[in-house]
Amino acid sequence: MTCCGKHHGVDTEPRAFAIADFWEEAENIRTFVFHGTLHSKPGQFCMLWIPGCDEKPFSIARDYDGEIWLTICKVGPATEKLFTLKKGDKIGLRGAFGHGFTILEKIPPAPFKKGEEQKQNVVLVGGGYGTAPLHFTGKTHAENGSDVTMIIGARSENLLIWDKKSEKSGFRTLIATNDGSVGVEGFTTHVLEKLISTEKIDLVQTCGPEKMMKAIAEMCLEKNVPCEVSIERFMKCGFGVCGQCVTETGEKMCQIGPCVSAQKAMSFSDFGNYHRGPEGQKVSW
Amino acid sequence: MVNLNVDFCGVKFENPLVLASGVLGVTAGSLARVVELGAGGVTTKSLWRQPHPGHKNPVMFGTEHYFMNAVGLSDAGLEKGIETLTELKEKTDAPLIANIVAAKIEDFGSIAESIDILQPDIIEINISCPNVESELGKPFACSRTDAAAVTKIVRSRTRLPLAVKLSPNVENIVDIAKSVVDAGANAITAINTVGPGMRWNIDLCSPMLANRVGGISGPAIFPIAVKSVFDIHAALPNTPIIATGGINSGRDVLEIMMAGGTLAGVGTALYYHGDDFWKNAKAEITEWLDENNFKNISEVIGIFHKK
Repeated sequence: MTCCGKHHGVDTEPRAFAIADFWEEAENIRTFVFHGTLHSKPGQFCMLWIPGCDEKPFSIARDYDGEIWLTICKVGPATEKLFTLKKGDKIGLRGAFGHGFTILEKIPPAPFKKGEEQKQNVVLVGGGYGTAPLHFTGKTHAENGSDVTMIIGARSENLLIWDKKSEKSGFRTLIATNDGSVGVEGFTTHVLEKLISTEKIDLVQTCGPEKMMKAIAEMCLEKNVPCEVSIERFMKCGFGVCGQCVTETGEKMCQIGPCVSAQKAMSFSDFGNYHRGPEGQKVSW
Repeated sequence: MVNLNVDFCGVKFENPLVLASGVLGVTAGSLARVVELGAGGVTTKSLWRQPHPGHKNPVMFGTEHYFMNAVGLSDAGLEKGIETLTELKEKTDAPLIANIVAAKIEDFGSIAESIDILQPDIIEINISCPNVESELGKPFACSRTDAAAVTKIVRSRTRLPLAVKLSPNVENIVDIAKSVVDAGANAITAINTVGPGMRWNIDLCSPMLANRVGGISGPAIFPIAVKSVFDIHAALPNTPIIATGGINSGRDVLEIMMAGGTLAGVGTALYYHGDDFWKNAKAEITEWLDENNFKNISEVIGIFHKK
């Protein structure tokens, strides 16, 4: 691995990493493992460069104990090329970039209730391959003493990812599938709505289809539950120069995002409605 | 109190810092935000008549001393250009420079005519991008006759002030500047990025930019920009210049204005300093002018030539 250009301590020139391992999470969804670290925080993203093909942004599924994991869905020419690579093949990584999810501070024990630990209740909601960065987020919350619930949604059982790892990590894991093949039949929003009505939730964080996140943001704002969403926009530079990822208010999602509060997200007229393509054209969700 | 206002081709700028073309110009909201952060004016990305895809990623990276890009002039075409300009005029009163581009000399006329209807304050003609040569051939800015021909056709379609953005990658930039002024340009923008240059990643045995080559900007090219602006101002003292290329501080702005720039185009500095650049550079400029007993920033324009 080489270390090249730094931007406020972050590499903007790619570093070479060999694919150390990979496995299938679900149909067309694969986790790639690289040895090293990007010094990332949960919710941040990196740029993965496939020389001679393209470079794309991906949220980071794990970055600790000397391993970086990227859970990637095959959606187009760049990821199709990535899926043909073998162990030992090298790619380039830049980052970590952007603003991740807020991690709640550990609550000190109350003065008159010695030994009685106070826990915060964090609910993470992942839709499809948007679930990828949430386990890393949940693990970090749990290390700070929070109780973590993971709501994972997919169209069907064969598309579910990270559910087993979530259970193994001791997170309360609730599943929703559109066809009811496993878990609740319906959407993650239905599961979250039920939770909100039955227990006090200190923070909801979500990553997945934008329409799902918008519904969650609206629900949380209405119920006064703090909420953060991870907004994906077309990225070119990843460090605030090209302007490709700006919202309609002109804010750069590669820097103030991808993770922003529900209030902030709702102030973007494009949130849940459209994003912009590589030439800056509007593309509906 | 120091006055930072400058007059450029009859257009009043609250301060001489303008966002250079190609940076943060994808939406009106983004450009308006740059004004809120302190820019005196903004330049759009290069506007095409038809959608233009640009290059694949990676399109840019930075180092301590220089920055490289090969975005490839991506743009969604005239319909989006109209939307951006119209929305931007509603959002801000700051002067707007519309940068236009075309693949053929004759096509510059039609994009100029379409943009003229929207009445930006200035039209800037991009004939000097060094990272689209594989697609478009040698930039028109590398030939006196081609540069003049583009200027002439745009001049015939608009009465708006015209600035022509020149390339430093020529034998004599002053000759090109004279030819475009003779053809009807009111102003010069100097300089576009240097090169193209090339960098490879030795571990991946691959060029760092998908386009293999890209334009070089950032602090390393500032001396080339200063000399180009100095030479153009010496030859054409009555032609205002948007001086750009590696400006990285308030002192750089003053230096390049003293060499002959009226406005200072800022691009890569935002990589090195982020959104705070505008505020900090203005504070640095104001402090220097105050300490050196200048009341108006316009007094410094071209003063090196009086030494």
